[in-house]
Amino acid sequence: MTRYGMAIDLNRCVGCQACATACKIANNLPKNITYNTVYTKSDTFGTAVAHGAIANDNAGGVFPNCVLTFLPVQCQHCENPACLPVCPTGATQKREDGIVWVDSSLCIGCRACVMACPYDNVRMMNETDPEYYLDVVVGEADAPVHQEGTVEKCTFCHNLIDRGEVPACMQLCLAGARYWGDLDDPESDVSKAIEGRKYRKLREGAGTAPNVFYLE
Amino acid sequence: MISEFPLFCFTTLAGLGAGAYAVNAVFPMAKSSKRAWLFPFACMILLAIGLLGLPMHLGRPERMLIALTQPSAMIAQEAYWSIALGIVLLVDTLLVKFKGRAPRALSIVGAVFALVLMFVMGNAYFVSLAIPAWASWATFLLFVCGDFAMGAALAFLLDNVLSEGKGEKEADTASRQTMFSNARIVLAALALVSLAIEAVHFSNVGLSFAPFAASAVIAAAGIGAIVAARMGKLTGKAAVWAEFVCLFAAVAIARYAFYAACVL
Repeated sequence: MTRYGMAIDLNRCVGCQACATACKIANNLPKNITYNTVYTKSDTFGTAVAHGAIANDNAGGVFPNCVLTFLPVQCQHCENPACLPVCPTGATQKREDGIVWVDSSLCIGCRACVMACPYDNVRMMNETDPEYYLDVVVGEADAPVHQEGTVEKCTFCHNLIDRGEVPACMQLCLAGARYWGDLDDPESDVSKAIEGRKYRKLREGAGTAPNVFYLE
Repeated sequence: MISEFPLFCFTTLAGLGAGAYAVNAVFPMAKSSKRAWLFPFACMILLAIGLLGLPMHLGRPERMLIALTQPSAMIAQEAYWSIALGIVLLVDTLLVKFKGRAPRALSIVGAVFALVLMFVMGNAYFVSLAIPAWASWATFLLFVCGDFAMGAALAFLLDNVLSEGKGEKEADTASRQTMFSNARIVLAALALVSLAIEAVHFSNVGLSFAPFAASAVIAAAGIGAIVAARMGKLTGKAAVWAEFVCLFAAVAIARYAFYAACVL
């Protein structure tokens, strides 16, 4: 059975935010919505700015022992998504291929999924009627719908995947830091990338079994 | 006002009713009282008012019907157990009103439902992994101990209020009064400990422990009221009301501060 996952090589990521930009454009995301953010880490492996990262592109530490690494964070499309069982309307769903997504037509914006998810800032609420930077619609014609009072998150670009393409963040990664594919297929790019490599997952202790692997 | 105010109302009021009914199952009030039916009725009203908070939390009431079809959703689980307890309370009310008494087994079943409801309320926040202040075992203690403490105070209050005035107060045995008094002290003390634990936990996650410290002090005052009443230094309605007001206020303040930790 297909089980989609992604690996991100932290040794290759240069923090250019191209993946975040590609995501923003491909999904025609409103101003205050991001599915994918690259955090600057100046200390240890963590999840977000709230856990120790400083402002983007600033090294931490004391010269000459400075540290500058990057951590792209998005929905982890977990095997046991904490957001799934708590949804009171069934808006949060998991496909057979492992992709976790939110059906905006069912979402009532109660934020139960936001509270249950152990990963910071991977899903966001459209508090108001969405506003956009551009006056024109950008991205894919079948990009997710954005409407007031609903929660949004990374879809692994399932609209692209379903027609044989790869997620938008993959397409624009200039460092080739991202690997995508079927985790159950040993010949897939992601399986090959993980094999033999040391990797970590975010907040494994939460028991969610993320399908995003961070190669170290 | 906190964004989770409807849930604050639900867990506080429904928790109060559930706690009182559970305690009453162990220390039943005067059965001879003609107004005894008002006890399960009062618990049912508290539960019903609290339950209004669930659809209010979802924004539009009809959404609650959708939520009831999602058994794994915490709000649905809270509703299921509330409904189960509500049915027991309704049957208890009708039986005591029209038959004079209800079977003890009914109270026991209701107490079990009430206990499960308290745990489910706590679990609804324990699973909120994005909010470190909530995702802790201290949450269970805060909810269960708090509900029992203020519930016991309410049960004692209603026991007094419903029995007085018409000379219907059952001749309580001294041992029953002492045991009930001891139980209320223990439950209030457990609530105080749970407040202290929550204060430490909030402090550990970088939030203010002050509301919980204040609640603990107020709960201690409630314990003081029980002890003062036993020593004869506080009598009559003043003792009964002082105990209830202190413990209810302690739990309500702590719970408000608990919900205020949600800043998503």
